[in-house]
Amino acid sequence: MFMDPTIFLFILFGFLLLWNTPIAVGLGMASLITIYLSGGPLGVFPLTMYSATAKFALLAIPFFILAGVVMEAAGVSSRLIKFADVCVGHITGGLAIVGVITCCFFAAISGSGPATVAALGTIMIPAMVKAGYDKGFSAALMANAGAIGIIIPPSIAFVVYGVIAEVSIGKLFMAGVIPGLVVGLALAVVSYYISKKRGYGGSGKKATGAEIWAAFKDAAWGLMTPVIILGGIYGGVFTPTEAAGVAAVYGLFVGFFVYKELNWAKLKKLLIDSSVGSAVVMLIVSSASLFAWLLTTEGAAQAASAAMVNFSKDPWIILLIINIIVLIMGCFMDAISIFYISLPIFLPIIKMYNIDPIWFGVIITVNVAIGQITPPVGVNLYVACNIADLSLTDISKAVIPFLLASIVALILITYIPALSLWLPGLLGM
Amino acid sequence: MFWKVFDSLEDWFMVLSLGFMLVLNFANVVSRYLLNTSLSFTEEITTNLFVWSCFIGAAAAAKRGAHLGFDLLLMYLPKKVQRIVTALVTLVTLGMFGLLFVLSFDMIETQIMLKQETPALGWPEWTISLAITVGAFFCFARFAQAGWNSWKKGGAN
Repeated sequence: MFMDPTIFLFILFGFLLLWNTPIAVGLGMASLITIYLSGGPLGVFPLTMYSATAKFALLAIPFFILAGVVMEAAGVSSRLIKFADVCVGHITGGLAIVGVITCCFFAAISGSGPATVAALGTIMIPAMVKAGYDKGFSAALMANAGAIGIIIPPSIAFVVYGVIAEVSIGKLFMAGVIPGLVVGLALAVVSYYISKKRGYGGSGKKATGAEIWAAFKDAAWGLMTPVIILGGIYGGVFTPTEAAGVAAVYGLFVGFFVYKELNWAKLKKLLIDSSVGSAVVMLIVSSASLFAWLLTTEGAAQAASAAMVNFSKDPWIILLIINIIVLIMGCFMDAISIFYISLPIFLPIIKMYNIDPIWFGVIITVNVAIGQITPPVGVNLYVACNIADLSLTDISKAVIPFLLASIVALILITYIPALSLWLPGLLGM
Repeated sequence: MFWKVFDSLEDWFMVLSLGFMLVLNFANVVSRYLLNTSLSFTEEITTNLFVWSCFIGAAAAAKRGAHLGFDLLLMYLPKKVQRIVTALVTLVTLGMFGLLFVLSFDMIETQIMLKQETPALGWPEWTISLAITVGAFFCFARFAQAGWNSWKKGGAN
């Protein structure tokens, strides 16, 4: 071939992306052309597409997406918001903090960032604007808080990382709990500070104990979900994939028989929506697998790992470099593509430095969660823009303070391993 | 008419496959705890159904324009250029699924020749990998449809 196949692969992929080629097609086509030009076997294409999707663990993706949309349609999200509102709605920037708290809760039900933004943003953003909050501020906050959806378990990102890195998905889930709360706390602090400066008051009236109790009872079915999912996985009752299915069934039960907000027509739509949503992720998974296969067979992954190791012997510096690379990738790509492209290179490196792959999984997941809110390609921003009827430029400016807060959280999570590893250790995992 | 049949075929396939996967998965958990028997073979059924639903779903996503891409640069281009670029991207996309369709025949042929079977149920392997062939066909049709619609509208997505 006329140039290094790996460099060609990346240039071609980048070039295809520029013109709004679907990311899955960009990954697949760049790999195919590279394989063809370097005389490789094109027959691996259908085989890889097939073997990448035929994995039981990945079945958690449609199930967790379904669980999220079911919980929203069942009326769980609105009740969670109501509960958070009676608890903290009265303080300065109350509604903004309600948004962050409910995102943390809903993240424990949903495994997807954009789904979390859609489920809560549709209620929270109009409510915040009505209460006098700036539209850009509201949309940017919800876009960012929704990214907690893939940090607090269940999480599609953890499922995919677990499959690629061959580590326990259950352990990753537990490791993500505290880092997710750290990001939530960082966002709450920033929203409180901005609200104080701009004079966004609370609802003024503090709820009585009876009101809080009533809202709690109403939201209890939703609040139970994380207990069932995490308790079930930790207790060994079911695998993460099965837990995803159980969560969806539980949501259907609540929607049909408890809140009675679901019916068959709605169910059909929910099943279609989540099938489509998971297929988008899965098409990326399958074509990105071809890309990853190529990186490994070309020896590029090994060469890149070796180059990075030569660059510095200090694991902290390596983690810093990896974080910067992933943050930049996050501006242009989705979480799953980043995992498939970068992990073949990063995983051997962290092994050499004896960095715990569970801890690293949390770091890179928090990083790609930030990628969901970095323009120009940030799925959560798109969803929030659609809800708030804002342009990408408007929301991009408003998201900056939250972005900085999330990066501070990322730094803490990177340099304090205990944030990730303490909980799974405590549970003896 | 043709697309109408296509639409409902796709929709019902997605509804039934995800619904069935959910039921099987739940039944497996319940039977393990209540009846003390593990229906582990259900894992293979759901995984295989999942492969089918991924590729049929990808076609449905193409119809809805749900596949992720980077459209910022494109939006700054003049309308005429946008239209041409979008058409070219559609051709590249069709090229990929066309190639997938053609190459999948070799894969299936090999699997039939070697009489490959799925590990738990002993089903012929090609019944599952046929999902790639059928899925590639569906995706091809849907991306072609979406590309053609956008060309008619003058390049808008």
